[in-house]
Amino acid sequence: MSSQSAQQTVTSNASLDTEIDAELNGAQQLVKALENQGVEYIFGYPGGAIMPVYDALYDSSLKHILCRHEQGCALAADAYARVSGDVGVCMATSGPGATNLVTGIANAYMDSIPMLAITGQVPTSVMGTDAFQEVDIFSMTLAIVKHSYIVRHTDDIPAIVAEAIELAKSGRPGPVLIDLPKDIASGNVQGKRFIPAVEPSNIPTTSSDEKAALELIRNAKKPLLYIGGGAVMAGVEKELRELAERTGIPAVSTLKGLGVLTKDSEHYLGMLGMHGNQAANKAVQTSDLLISIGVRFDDRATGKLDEFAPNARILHVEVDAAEIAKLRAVDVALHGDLNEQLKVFSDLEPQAIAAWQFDCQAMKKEFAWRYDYPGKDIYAPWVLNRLTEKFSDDLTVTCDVGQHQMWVAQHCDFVNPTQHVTSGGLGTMGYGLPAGIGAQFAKPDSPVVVVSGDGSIMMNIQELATLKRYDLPVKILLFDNSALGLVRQWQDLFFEGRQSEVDLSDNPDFVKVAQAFGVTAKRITHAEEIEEGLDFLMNTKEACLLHVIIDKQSNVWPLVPQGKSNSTMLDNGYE
Amino acid sequence: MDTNKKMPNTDINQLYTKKISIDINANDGAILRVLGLIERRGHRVITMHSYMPTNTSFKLEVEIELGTPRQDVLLHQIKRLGDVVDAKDLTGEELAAVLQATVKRYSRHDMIPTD
Repeated sequence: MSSQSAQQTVTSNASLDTEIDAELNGAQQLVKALENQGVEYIFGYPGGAIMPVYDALYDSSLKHILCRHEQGCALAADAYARVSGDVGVCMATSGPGATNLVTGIANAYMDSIPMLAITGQVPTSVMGTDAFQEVDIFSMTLAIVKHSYIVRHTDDIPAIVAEAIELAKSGRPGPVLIDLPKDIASGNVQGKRFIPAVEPSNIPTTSSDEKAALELIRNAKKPLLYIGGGAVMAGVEKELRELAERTGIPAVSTLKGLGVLTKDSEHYLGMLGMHGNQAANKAVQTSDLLISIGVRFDDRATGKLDEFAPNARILHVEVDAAEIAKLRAVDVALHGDLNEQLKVFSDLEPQAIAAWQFDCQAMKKEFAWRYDYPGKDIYAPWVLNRLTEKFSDDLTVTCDVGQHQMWVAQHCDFVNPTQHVTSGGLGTMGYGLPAGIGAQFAKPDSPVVVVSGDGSIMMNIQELATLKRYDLPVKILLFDNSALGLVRQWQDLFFEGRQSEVDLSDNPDFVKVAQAFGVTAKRITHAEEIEEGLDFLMNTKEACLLHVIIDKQSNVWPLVPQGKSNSTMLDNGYE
Repeated sequence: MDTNKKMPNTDINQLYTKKISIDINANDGAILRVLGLIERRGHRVITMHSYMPTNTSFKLEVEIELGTPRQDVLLHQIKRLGDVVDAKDLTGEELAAVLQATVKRYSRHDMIPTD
């Protein structure tokens, strides 16, 4: 797009479906446009300014999922997109409905998830007058959307919807907002297209640095594959597994890259970063070449940036040019669609790095996870390890945020990346349950388990009603340590044990809460009940909740203190 | 000059700056989106002006203080915005041409129109 003139851009976009039916009002145009774009589900919540669209939905083939809070709508749409590979669509009314979507939009932005958020807006005649339920959602979300629109003319709607969906899923995906004033939705405002069209970024698929990239790898003594969420978004797990297998180059992954390589991959060392595996972090710190694929050098992965991989040269393979050298200077970059860029390595031969492979294997063995927990209490990592062992490979796990999220990343064995649905960039407590709903709609015939904590579950517990409403067989594994565990752990470690506002010992009875929503529930409190509890999750055909009581003092190990080098991991074993 | 080295400076007359030129489709919020990104990504805007070469597009020139974070990364970040058609550093010659083409010109230091 960069070489185009502005004038050319105005008249482009002919490839998008922009058919206009003059008989339809704006809301009907919107619904028809969504149907034409292949949208199947909308996660939404009605209200005043969006009512014309809900009226149009009444006669539509679109399946509307009524969540019980707009944040639930946005987070469910996010997870639907992650699991289905399609664009997730959420919708809310103006004012508080729109602001309640904001966290979900930000979540999608941070994790590069294709999402379309549609908000109602007050009529254009009163926009800017502080009218009832008016907020400037367009301005409020500028920093967390890939693009956004205020619809000014009814006739613009089909083109805007087509553009918005294409933008959301193209290049580096992300959320797009359409703000629809009520009079535009209910009227037949005529006029030619008011806004210049927007075209998706034109991503180059070739690079001039191919030879340099191969030379870097061939000259490296300690090369390491560093795999991130961009690889998942590009769907190149098969290529990366084959690359690791063929070349023998050891590999680590970020939180968002989990599942690209599996525990069966001989050279895979696990997740790096703050709560990563020590073998993975040590390998990064001693590597002399990081082959960085679809990563953004996030601080949770790198620790203290100045001391991250201090001996390594950087080969960065990345779809988004703005991520290249953003935080870490690179020696060679391959910019473009990973599916194309990884072809550069298709003839790369097995590397003569036996000593490095031996060192990595030794570290992998030395720092393998242990499950010989001595007490009679329930050890959450063991429960999670057993979870993925017991369930089939088509299991999807959606996580909330906190200690349990890190335990899932460490101890669940995923065989493909879409099995693991987690709020990586934003770290949104309350993500897990609505994400489970979105995931179940995306894969209706596969098991979905929400792993949550007693803090997170309360952030969107109203969505238990959504499970019941749609008879979704989502299973909830709820770890309860009567505390905001990860904050408590940090206060113990870094704030001299001054536990401030982390006690949740006045939690409700979660079994009774679930039952009140019509969700089957059961509680376990001792290690000997773990198998029985997991069997309950597996064998219950409808929505169910397993309430798992764990030690209030349970900690996540290992840990890199914030702002410290990944070389300084703390590990207190079972303490 | 090392463009990535932060040069703390409070005297506007002694700032090391760079001008970038951005072509933008004239959509709702387009300028706000670009300027917001520049500031949010940690760059200090020294001067800016815009004009409309056509009735559907803006040309925006922004002078930013050199320092961290990197300006080349900023250009990529600007280019990935949906409304942005192009973004580039202005060389001396380009800068002179741009100034000739603008409807009004402003003094950099006192912000008073010179013509």
